[in-house]
Amino acid sequence: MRKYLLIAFCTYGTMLIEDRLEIIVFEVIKIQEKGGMNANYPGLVKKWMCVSLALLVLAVLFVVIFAGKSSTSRGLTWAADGKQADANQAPVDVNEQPEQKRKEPDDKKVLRPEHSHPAFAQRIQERARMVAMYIQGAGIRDPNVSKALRTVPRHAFVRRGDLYRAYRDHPIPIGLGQTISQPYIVAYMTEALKLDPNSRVLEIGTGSGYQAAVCAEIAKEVYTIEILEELANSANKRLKELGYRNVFVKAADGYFGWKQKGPFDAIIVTCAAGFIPPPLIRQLKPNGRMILPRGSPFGAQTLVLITKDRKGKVYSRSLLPVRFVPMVGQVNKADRLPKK
Amino acid sequence: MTTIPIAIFFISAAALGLELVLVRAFSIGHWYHFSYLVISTALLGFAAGGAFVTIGSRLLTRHYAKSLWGFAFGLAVTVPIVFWISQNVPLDELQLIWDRRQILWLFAYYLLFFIPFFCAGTSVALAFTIFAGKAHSLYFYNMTGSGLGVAAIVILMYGNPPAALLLIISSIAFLAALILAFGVSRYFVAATFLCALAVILLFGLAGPVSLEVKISQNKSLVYYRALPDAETLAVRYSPLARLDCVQAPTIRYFPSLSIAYQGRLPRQMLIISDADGISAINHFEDMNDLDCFDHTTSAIGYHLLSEPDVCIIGAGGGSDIAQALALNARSIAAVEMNSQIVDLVRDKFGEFASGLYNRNDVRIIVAEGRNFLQTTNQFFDIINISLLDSFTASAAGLYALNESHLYTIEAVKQALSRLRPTGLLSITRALKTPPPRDSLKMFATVVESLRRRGISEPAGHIIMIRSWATATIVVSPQPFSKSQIENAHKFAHQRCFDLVHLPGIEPNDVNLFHILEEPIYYESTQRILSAQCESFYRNYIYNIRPATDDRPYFFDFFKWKSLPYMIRTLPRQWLPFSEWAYLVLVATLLQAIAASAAFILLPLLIAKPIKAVRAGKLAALGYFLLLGLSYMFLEMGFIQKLTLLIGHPVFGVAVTLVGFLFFSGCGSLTSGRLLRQTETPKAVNLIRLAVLAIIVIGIIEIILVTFAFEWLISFSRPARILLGLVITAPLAFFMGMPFPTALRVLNISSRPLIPWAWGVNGFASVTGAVLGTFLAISVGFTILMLTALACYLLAAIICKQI
Repeated sequence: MRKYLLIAFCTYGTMLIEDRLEIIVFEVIKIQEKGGMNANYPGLVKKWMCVSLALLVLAVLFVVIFAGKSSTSRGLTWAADGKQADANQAPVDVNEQPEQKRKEPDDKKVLRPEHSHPAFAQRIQERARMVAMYIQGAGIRDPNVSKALRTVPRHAFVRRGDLYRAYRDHPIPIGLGQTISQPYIVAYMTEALKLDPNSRVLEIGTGSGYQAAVCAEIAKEVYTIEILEELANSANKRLKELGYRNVFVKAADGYFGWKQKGPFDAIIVTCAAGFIPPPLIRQLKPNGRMILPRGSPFGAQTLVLITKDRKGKVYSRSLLPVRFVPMVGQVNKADRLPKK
Repeated sequence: MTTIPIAIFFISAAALGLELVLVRAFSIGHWYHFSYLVISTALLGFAAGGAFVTIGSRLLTRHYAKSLWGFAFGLAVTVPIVFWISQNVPLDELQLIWDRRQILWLFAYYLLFFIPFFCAGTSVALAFTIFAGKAHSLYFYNMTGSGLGVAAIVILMYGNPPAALLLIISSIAFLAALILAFGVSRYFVAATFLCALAVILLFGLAGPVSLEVKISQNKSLVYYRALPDAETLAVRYSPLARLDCVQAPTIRYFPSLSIAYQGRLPRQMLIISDADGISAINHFEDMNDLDCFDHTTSAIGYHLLSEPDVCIIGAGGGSDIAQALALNARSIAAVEMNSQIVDLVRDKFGEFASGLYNRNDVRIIVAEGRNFLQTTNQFFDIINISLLDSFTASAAGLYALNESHLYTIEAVKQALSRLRPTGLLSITRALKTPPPRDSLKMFATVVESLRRRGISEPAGHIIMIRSWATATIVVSPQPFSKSQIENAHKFAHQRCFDLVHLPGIEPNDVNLFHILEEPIYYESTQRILSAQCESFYRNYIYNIRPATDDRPYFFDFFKWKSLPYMIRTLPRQWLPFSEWAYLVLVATLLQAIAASAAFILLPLLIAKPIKAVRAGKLAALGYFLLLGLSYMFLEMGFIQKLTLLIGHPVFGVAVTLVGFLFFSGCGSLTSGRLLRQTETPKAVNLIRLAVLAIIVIGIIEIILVTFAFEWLISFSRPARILLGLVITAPLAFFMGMPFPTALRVLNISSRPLIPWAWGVNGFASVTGAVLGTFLAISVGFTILMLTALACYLLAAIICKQI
């Protein structure tokens, strides 16, 4: 009996420690890279490294002395959820990805994001790993989208306490009851919009600004509206600091869209909607695409693609349940974007 | 001894009241699934008291006065403290699957709520141990205390927030502690009094520590309150729900609006029930402001009939009434169960609602929808049930998994019978994430109702359309005419709605505007209408077989067959999307069984006095286990039947619980009088006689509430409440006899088993509540009640072995 209790204790302890170990891994990767790091981050990592190592030693001692077999079973669990397989994967080189021939912007004076902020040089391999596993591995085929996700430093958009899980495949709370969408959904929605360097995008629901940044890597201009002023201000500040000169943030009611800057080639609504605001339909260009989650803010939601034909008639197409990302290799055929 | 039963009365009242208040608080603050899981486990604390007393009986009985006081005092103090701590536990149910720390927080919830129930359970078990000879009298106080506790808390829930109710419960427990303190010393009396004062000052409504329910960030209310310039204009409390009226310039709630609609929208205010369920109040100057309601799927009925007399089930904030007015309804009868919603829309926000509830052509009826259809003599052209999920017994604080009496075959049949020959029943449901289930189950229910009315070709009587977010099913007792079919076609096409079913529909008519990979709605409805519907129900991934009154679980879509699919989609769909409620029930049952086994077996292994008892342990285990299970099964069965009869979940639950607990107490007292001198053979005979009476009365009453229902429902509501009490009284009276009588037997034969037996009975009650839900879902309430009678029979057979 005691043995089984200890196995349970150790297994759960190891699971908790796993979170902390990831920070240590980040640190090791960080040392390998030459990019800078903000002043507080090493202190935080150091603190958690000490705690984690101490806990790890304790857990290992328990496991070795009392329940030697528990580590084996844990290993099997990892293998089952695909993480062990990932460990054997060769690191992905960003430059090796097949690059789709980019359409050149018509206007040569367009503002492009600057990538001079130190955050872009940090945690590059984690982003590459995230894209390989959760984006490309889950069926996203647009190389421009993959490249955008490899470029945008997601860790710059999360709160300090969540830095360690910035590149995991799940949403992360950003305060005020809002979350930063999981990378797969960001990629999926961006791919569905079929953006090119001439695209002008309207986003409703800026949140942390991450989705806008991803779109800004591909499109010409991104106009984003956030109803919560506090979030709008912080996202604006963050995006400006990161050098996203082609993103324009406004604190306003997204229902009305941004009439002065419209019409738009693509509209992305990142907050759940029970209906589609008529002004947004009007601000969508003929042949334009709009993607949004259907449903209540905290209930069941389905991603829906709205298309507008040349005559202005609108159609919808249900895509997949949102908020939660599929695990690697578990994307059903039905969940992939329709070719049409 | 004289004061102890009174103290037990108050402790029992506080414990049952606490259970109800916690369920209410959880429903407001968190997801329903977790409240079920946490509270049912916490309740085990009540029964764990029996195991604790068994193990520590020597010490506890030696200082019983102080011990009793201590646990009563513990209950009083821990109620507010534990609740306050729980509101500061950062549990985020949405993150449970990704953030492992959340499992710890969930476990913390278990532990916290276990404590007060453990204190209550220990004091009652200890009282039974010490005064086993007066078991009948104690049981009377225990049961009547529980019954009156339930009644008092349900009444107090009208208008009082959980914070106030918790303080009341704490005060009741302090009263019990004060009574017990007089039996110890005056210092204890003073200490109890001072502590009670401190708790009230500390946690009181004006005190520094707030017991307000913290609402999870995953509920809609938090989102709407955060909108710019959002104002909460009113908050109302009742046993049905907490209502928050929120207004903000940016609020727009039009869940079934066509994507083709380009017109204006009326200003709105939201009534949010239990921080999640939304109903909108619309402000309009003239009927043109309500044009948007003509662009929802639920408007189709008004394009098939002109100037109809309309009945709206679930009026809420009045959107459906506004729609009916805008679409030229001649008269409107609007049924709303929650009188507080009616008061808000009619009086407090009457001006904002543009006098909607005060119009001459609008009649507001405060009633439960199904009950109104059962009792009204009126006939309508259109009965509209739109985006409504009826309040259920679970919302009133019971162990139920969202049973609904509005979406059963019998309910649809009832609604069809209240229509004029050319009338329409219109039901609108929100579309769920694929694969579809909710709207298909509704379609299947409608088809089955028509078949039961003797219509062999139901296809000609049904029209179903869908938008990107909702589906509306329109059903008529007569086949639709050619012009009606053309109108439906035109209505759908103009508004970009897709046809799902229409008499004479062709495959190329479907999936045109809201495109799915495959026309799954069309294909599924055709299968349901075909002769092979049985095989379709059997093979479909979700349970879409129509619900019945006996198994009123419309929202149960779970099938064991679909478990691999659910597990595969778990990381993507998690709780808000999947049909996990049934699995939560499984988890709860497993938890309850595991905890019960541990607490039942532990005393057997380590308590010396029990070890010393040579015989009768197995029989006692079986007997008290069967009693606990059967009592709970019968209680649950009658709650369902009486809720349907009385027509209001709160009254149904209150009448059943009060009736069962109070009359059981009376039965216990009477059996004590009958058994002045305890002789085992006499006691056994009494138990067997009582069981015989339970079985006979039980069968008669099951037949009565099943087959004479139509006659019983014809009485007025006060008469039906009285009838409910009359039905429960004789059965509960005899159900109160077997437990205390057996305790009296144990007092002679194996006294150390008394607290253990109390614990076994308690565990059986908790496990029985979960197991009963399982049985009700699987085999229906009638079989559940018959199972209870069989359990009583078994208990009577083995009672001689105790």
